[in-house]
Amino acid sequence: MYAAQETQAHTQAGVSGSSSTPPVTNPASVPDYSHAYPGYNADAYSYDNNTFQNYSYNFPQQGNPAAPQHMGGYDASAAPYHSANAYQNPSYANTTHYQTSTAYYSSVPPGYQNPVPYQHGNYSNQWAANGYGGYAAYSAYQGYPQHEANGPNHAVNNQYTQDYQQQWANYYASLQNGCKVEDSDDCTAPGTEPVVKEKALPISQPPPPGTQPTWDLNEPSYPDVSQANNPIPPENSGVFVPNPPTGPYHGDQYSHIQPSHFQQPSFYQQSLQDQPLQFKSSQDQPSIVQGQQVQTTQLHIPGANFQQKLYSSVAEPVQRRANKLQIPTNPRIVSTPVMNPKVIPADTIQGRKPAYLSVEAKPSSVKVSSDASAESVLKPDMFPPSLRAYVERALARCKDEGQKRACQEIMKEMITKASKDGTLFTKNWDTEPLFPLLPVAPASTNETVQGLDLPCSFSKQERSPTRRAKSRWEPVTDVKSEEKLEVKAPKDGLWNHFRAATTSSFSLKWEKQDNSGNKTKPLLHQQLEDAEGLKRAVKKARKSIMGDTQEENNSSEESENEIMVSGGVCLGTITTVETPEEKMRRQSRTKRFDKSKEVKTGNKELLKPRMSIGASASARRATALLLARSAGDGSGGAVEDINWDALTVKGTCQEVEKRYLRLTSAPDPNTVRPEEVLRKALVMVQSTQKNYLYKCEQLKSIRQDLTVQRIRNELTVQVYETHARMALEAGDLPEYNQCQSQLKGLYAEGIRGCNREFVAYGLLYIILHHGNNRDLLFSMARLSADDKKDVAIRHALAVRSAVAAGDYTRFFRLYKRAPNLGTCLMDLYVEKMRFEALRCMTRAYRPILQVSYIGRILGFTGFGALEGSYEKDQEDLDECEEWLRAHGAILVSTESELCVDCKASMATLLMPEPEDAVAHGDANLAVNDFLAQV
Amino acid sequence: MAVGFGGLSIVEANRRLMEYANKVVEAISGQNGPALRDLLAVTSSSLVCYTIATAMDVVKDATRIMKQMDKHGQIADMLAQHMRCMQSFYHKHYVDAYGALDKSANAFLQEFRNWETAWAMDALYTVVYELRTIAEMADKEMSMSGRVPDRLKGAGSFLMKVFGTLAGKGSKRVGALYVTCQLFKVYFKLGTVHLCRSVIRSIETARVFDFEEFPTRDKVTYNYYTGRLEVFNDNFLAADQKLMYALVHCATSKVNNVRMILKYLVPVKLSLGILPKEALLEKYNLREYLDVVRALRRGDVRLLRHALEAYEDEFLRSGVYLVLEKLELQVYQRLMKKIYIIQKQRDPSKAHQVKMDVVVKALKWLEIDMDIDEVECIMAILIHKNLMKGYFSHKSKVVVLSKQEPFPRLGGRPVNS
Repeated sequence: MYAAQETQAHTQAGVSGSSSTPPVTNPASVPDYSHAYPGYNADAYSYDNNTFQNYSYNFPQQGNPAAPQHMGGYDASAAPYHSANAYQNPSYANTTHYQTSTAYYSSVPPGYQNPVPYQHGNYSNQWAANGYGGYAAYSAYQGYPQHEANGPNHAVNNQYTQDYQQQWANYYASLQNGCKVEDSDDCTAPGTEPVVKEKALPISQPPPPGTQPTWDLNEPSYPDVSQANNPIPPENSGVFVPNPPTGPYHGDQYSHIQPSHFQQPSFYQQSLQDQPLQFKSSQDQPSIVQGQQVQTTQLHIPGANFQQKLYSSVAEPVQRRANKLQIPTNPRIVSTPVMNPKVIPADTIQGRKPAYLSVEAKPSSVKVSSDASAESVLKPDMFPPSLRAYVERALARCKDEGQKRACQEIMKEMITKASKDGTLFTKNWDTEPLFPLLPVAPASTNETVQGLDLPCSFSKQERSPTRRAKSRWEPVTDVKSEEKLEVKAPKDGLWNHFRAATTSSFSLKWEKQDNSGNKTKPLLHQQLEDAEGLKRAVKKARKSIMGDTQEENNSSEESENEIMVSGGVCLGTITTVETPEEKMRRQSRTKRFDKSKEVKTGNKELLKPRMSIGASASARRATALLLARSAGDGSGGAVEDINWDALTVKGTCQEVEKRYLRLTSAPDPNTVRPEEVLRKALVMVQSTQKNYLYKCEQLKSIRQDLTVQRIRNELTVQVYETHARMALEAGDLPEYNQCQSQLKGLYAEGIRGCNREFVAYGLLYIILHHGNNRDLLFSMARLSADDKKDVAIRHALAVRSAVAAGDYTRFFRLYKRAPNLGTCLMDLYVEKMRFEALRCMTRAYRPILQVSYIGRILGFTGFGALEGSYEKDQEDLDECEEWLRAHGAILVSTESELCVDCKASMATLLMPEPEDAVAHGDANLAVNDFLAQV
Repeated sequence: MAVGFGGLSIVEANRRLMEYANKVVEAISGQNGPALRDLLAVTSSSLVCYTIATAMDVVKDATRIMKQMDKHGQIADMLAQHMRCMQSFYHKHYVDAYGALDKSANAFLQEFRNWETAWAMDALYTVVYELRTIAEMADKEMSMSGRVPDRLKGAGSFLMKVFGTLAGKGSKRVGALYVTCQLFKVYFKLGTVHLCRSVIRSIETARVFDFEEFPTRDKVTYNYYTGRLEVFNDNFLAADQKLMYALVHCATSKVNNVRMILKYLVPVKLSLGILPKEALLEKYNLREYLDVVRALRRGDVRLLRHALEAYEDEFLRSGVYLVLEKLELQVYQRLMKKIYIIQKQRDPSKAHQVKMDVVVKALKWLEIDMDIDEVECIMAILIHKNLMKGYFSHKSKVVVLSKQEPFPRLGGRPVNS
């Protein structure tokens, strides 16, 4: 519940460099605090202590037991919260809080914090700006249009990175809008909200004189901020409940942040130096790396402060309450028993790391409510806004945590798959259909309840989502952050350096920065030291936990992979053998995991979900299926918007036979046959004895596979020609037309086939069924002199002139010797031609006309090579006679043979209703055939 | 003094542009349509175009100059684009020219809507004409460089917009027919002739404005195009009527226009059984029809086939091929008539009985190889289509012709019974 928000906040920060701005999140949470949220409590629990409980609901964001040294900063940020909670409380100085916290950790000197708080607040503000700036920059790199909802924020961010002055101006400008909008949104999406508030803060302040904002500038703004936020609280109540407990992510973030805690000030600088030029001039390369780290640190710092505050409040509940307007009203919170002592804050922190990474740090968006959870799914750096919107939409439907979690799982997989396919950015997420929701999973809800009741189980449960996320997502996250870095400092190529240096060389870098004349130097040192101490403590705690979880991690990873694979397979109508491609993908995935292990020293890997496997294994299986469906075929949306280049798949299916299923989404390679198999399939269809419906379906599925793989060569032409011919034979004109128009395009590309045969068919089709003079003229004008020498085309042209003149004799002569399948096309015109001819004859001939003559002229007889075979002719004559009678001709018997009485017939001719007419209009679609198919 | 390219000084160039802009403003404020028309012409007025283009080459930023005319914001924007169009056109960058002109034309249309009277109709005509013409050039340029030409299509939709502006009630409706004709030209060129229908309907059904009140020039053009449409639809009577209207009202001095009308009118008339004098075909250089007419006169099926073969491409392109092809029946009719006349000269009593052998022999003489079944079929069709009165006796293979008027004249009637 609340946890999700927290993670979101973190992830937001993550955009800029995987760091989240603590103050940002804080303001958002302000309203929430006033109303005690159960979710929040959970976080607090996970962190450590019973004492937390009191504060936990108040400060959801501070779930992280952050370094005490930052308390000052925290206080500063907290100040607005307090004010928000209790408007009457003007006091920003949290000296008392600070002291309590110090007592708790005993690492922070009490005096230190007091002067700092405002600075922290400022940090956070700028942080946010920086973070967004980075985000904006990313988006710019990737060429994505900024999301509308994010518009204002992005703008601000960009401005920020480029020009501080500008940024301030923007802040001012956005003050009203942002504040208003965010306030209303606050209720829905706490995670994103905070950012907005942060922005709001600077607005109230005067713009900084220089391009580099100083802490001092921001100081005055605090009160304003709190005020701005104040109106929100009442609306915020209850907002957080729906959010899934993503809380554990905090831990993850925290672990990330740990090393960098010390560098808060440096981070600040870094952020300022987002511009490449600045990087060079003011900082050495390592410092850039630091910048990243620092950013993360900063994000955490506020959280840490928060927690400290919580602690302090625990220590001095009375004072705390004095500050707060509301005491926890949520029954769950109140009832929550003592936290599990076993769980060490560091522990939780670490366990949660992956989540925040996966979240995209996005400034406030219109749909703030789902934003927070959406961000937990989306990784910050590189997602199109439309994807975010999609995720938000998906999450908005979730009715409870379990659903939401499942949702997130599904979407994570979707996104990974999409990024793997390269369709992440090409897919039209706006039109992407939402995957079906899982029914509310009772198991998950039970878990939460349990967690509340039993501290032990609770802690586990808290971790489980995180762990799960980590197990699958950590590596991905890692990769992403890497990319992010590269984007940020592409020229330096510092990433490796950064990795090596992050843990060890921070203090050194900080020293350098200090030398560069930063006035925050003493503060930095202090913080660094404190952070060091904290880090150590965290590490210890982590180790103790890691032991148990390690085994499970591996197994869970395995099982998850399997599920993913099987999900993909199940989707298709065909069960696929494991293809080489699939193997390769698996390998690459494993490699990714390895890499992440190297980088992260394995601790996160070790912390894996225990519960997730057991509790939600079935749910995950289901989600995997859903995912496979939605990700596998899931590129629905307007066809014209799809980038087929990106969607082109390489089939791996080895089945020769495949049923045709109209695609409603991106094809799954598992069910697509590669070219060799398609070749076999074509031969199979050509040689099969089954009926046209079967052949048609098989050919359609072949065509589909060709299309999705964008195979356009002789094979494609052959397939279409085969299908066109079969359709002609079966009289399936619609299908024939499709093939014909495809063939036209294929021939135009220069792919050889039976071009002229099909040009002739095309002509015949226009002549006999289309009847449009302009089209006919156009087609004829396109014929080359060579074309006109072709037998089939000559034949078609002759038919045309015969039809134009109404020359039935010629028509039926041509009918008899039509090349290829011209007869089939002409067949469809024969009836009309015969009737016209009969009308003409009855009018022209007197007094009688022999049936045998009519039969000969109108093509009833004379087909066989054995012209003399009397029986055959007799049969045909009978047919002709039958036909004549059916059409109203009056037959008379003369001495020698049967004749038509022309004059009498003139008035009685009629065009009978076709006997084989069917209600659905297509006589070829025999119901029995259809039923047999089904 | 800075001297620009071509020896034109910047000051002088500026002065010219300003002078041009002032003239335009003057024409607008004075509601001087013809003057405005001349000023806005691009392709048809080489002098203005040259002056502006050379001046534009020197002055880099024309918008700055235009900004000096603050009070005419819309006009200034329009002129800036228009001058850019002239410059691009002068340098034969037609795609660029079209882009600028499109903007200019849209701005102009905006202004035009606000003018209550139709004083600027001439100028609007010019803008519409230039837009279409330059769009065609731009398309040519684009297809030469391998791009998909779509400018003329864009011009078409702009013209529809103009048509919408004019088609209502009021004095501006006079211009609707001109725009319609320009639209026809676009659609015929693009081959999207079906789009004409909606425009035609709006012209012919709306009775707000009597068709006769449109300018003659536009009426002729309109009838020419609608006549052509009827030819496509094998609707020869309507085609004849429209094309005749166009021919009658077309200024005889516009030889080329007359020729274009005749190009469609002649086949239509032929299919109605009305043959032109050869002198007419000679005069308007319609030699492709000479042999067709001769074949009809002589009943020479071979000649007709040859003529069709010789000019096949041309006939196919203009769309009259199918019309001419159908003349073959008339040729057969003529042939039968000749046979009948010859028989009559020999033996009047048996003249009305024509044996198939004779016909086959005649066709053979024309180097047309048809067996008796085919000839029989032709005879049946002739009778069926009322090109020949009588009946056919299958048993004796004889056509028995009616005693009165065995070969009815079409005389302006279409063939199909």
